[in-house]
Amino acid sequence: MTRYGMAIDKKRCVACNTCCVACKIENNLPQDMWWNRVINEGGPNPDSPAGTYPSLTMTTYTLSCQHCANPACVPVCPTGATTKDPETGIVMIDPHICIGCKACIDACPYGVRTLQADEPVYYTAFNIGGDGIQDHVPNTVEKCTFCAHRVVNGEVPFCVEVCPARARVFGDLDDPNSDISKLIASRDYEQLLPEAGTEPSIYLLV
Amino acid sequence: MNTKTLFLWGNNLTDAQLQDWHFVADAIENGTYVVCIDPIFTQMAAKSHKFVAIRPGADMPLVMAMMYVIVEEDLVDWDFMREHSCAPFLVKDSDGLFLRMSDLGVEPAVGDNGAAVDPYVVWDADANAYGELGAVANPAMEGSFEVEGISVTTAYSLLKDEIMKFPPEYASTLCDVPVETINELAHLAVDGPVTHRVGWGPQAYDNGIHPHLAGAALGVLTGQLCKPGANYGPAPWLMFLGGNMAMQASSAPVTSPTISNMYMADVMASNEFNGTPVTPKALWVYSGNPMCTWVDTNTLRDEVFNKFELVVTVDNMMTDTARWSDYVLPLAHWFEYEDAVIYGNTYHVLYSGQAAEPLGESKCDLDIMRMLASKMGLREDLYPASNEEYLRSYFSSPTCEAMGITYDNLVEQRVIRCFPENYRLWENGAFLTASGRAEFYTENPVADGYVGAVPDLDREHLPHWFEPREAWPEGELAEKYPFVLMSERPRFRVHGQWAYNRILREIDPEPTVKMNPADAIARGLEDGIHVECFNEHGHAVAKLVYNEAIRPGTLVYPKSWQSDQHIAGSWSEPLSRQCDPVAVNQSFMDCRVDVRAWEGAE
Ligand code: SF4
Repeated sequence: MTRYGMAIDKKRCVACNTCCVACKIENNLPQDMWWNRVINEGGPNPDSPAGTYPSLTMTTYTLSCQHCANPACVPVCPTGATTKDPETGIVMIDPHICIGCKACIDACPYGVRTLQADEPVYYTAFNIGGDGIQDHVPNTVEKCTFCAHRVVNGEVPFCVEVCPARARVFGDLDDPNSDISKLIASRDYEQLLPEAGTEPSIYLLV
Repeated sequence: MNTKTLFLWGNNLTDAQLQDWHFVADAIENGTYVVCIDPIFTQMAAKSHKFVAIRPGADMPLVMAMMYVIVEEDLVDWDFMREHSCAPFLVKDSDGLFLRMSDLGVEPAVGDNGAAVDPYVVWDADANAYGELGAVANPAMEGSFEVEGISVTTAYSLLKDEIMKFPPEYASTLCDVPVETINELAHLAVDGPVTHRVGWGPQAYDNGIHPHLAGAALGVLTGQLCKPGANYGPAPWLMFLGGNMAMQASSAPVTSPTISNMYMADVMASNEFNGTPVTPKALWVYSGNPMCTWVDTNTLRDEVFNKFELVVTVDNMMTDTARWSDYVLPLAHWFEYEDAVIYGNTYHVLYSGQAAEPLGESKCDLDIMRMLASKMGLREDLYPASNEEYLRSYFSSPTCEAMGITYDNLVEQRVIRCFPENYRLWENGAFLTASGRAEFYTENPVADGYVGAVPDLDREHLPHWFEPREAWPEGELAEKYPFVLMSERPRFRVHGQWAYNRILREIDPEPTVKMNPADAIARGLEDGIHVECFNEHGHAVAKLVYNEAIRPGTLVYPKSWQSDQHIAGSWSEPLSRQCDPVAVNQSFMDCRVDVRAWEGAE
């Protein structure tokens, strides 16, 4: 079996937002839709540290769908639009089944699901992004797909490919010889809200 | 990767030179210790092992004090100093030049390449007599001597005199770095291999040449140059010079003077440049957006742009400068025409292919020049017929051939390395100076770009301290305008480029100014309100952002928002166009302002 996961190295991530913007391009995300965001750990504002000048600390990582092994969203979805692919472990939403009830938004402890309420507004007059990307349908919920349309062709998610810091590693958590498995075995890491019992597939290397 | 300690001097590398960050991250994984010297706690500072908070415009005294410790504790790399530096050269009291054998009546010989060979004179410490460099095994590093009636002092002694002005206790009062930290940094700096990388921070003040003179001297003193993992310098900006030069430069001599922006307003008013009458009538702006990115844009607009009869701007977006032009010529985006990139922070020549047809009537610079040249009746063959033909001719030279760089190869391979693997500046101590050595003493400083009297260049032989023009914490100006206004080159734009990119504007929607919360609270300014930063030159209104990374007493703004994106003013307005007569630099951070809540219309 395959269970895809991602490691994000907090020692390398510098909050550049390249992955977030690249996600928008690759997935043709409409205006105001972001599947991936930079989280600052320090003060309340972006790039603001904790502490008092000059004794300061600051770290950063990105937040998107955790593609949990035990997702909180799947069981609450009344239509079966949200599913977890048993072949890959990727959690997907079928926009043609979703009714926009927002049950998953309430259930997800990570706040990574967003309602596309209205008719999507695009930045360009033509479609951009990869082949086979998800449609954007009014009144449906959206989130990161782990670039399933790329992964199916053996490619890594676009955010991994573009990260100028080489902070993102994608691969099969079930394969002990994959780069990601070896990295997780060799480094200290955190996971977000492990107490939620969701078993996230995202590892934050510290 | 093989550096033991990396010093980053005013180098916001994770924003301004993000392309190099992964190399630094690799080095950190490989055990490199990183010291970040900056007034601002940047992302880079957060990633460094040691953050050294420094007063703006005061890097130079810190470097000098580090050298003081190194000299006091005799941690100098004497072998390097003797073999690879100008340390033993004898400087004449009379004219500040190095003593050469010709000064002693020995005719210069003619070298293999036809150039005159006039050996440097050194003092033989064993024989207690003068001798020729190269013939003396143990040249004196220190001391003053009389050589056939000529009074001389070793270059190192002159440097040491400057260094000794900076005991750490004194330097600490200038740079605001604790004495223990100065000691610690000095010891790190001698434990090689050490790389010093400088950003554009320390030079952004009127005294901005001197931190670099000092830094380079530190590299020499510690022998941390031109070895694996050891260097002093900025990000390596490299240019491929192996192309067909005939394609690059016109053989016709340039007939008009080059005048710095810093003096343009005076020249437009007086119609004179250093005694020569000049009456500029037309301004052609390309590859730049001065009305946004330069200093004192109110003067630039009123006293320069408005005095030209004709202003033409070529750009691919509507910039502040384009708005002040009589004609705007639409430039094709670089994705819309074929070109090659031979200059940048890279060791490669890059091919930049055409991905799309130019939008509307837009054209590349070369096409615009071709059309202009033909309308002006210039030679038909001024530029070869097509860009491809131009590139084919450009990449046909003996060097290109030897490196396998041809137009066809570039198109096929997209990227071709044009510098050797593990390229190092001054490899094996081959310095590009007259002596072939690292010259921390500038024998013959030359002024360039000044207006009026030739500036006094005595100051320029060696690192020398003087306060920045505005940024210093004492004096009348500091009382009137309590905040040093610093800029950062943020990650969401490259100068003015991408100003109107809608995706980026969702992350970063409007001009901001960052302030230490303690300063803001003391002035009753709440997080998120609009504030006006102002001085007598102008003002800028931006959203206030509390940020503990900001040194108290300073304000930091991400640079290069277009003026129509500000509620009022723009960041270039408060920056003075005054400059040091030698540096002739736009000192972007040598600026003071006051700040207050904005009460004007939103
Ligand atoms: S692209 Fe890489 S460095 Fe930049 S925010 Fe994303 S993970 Fe961090």
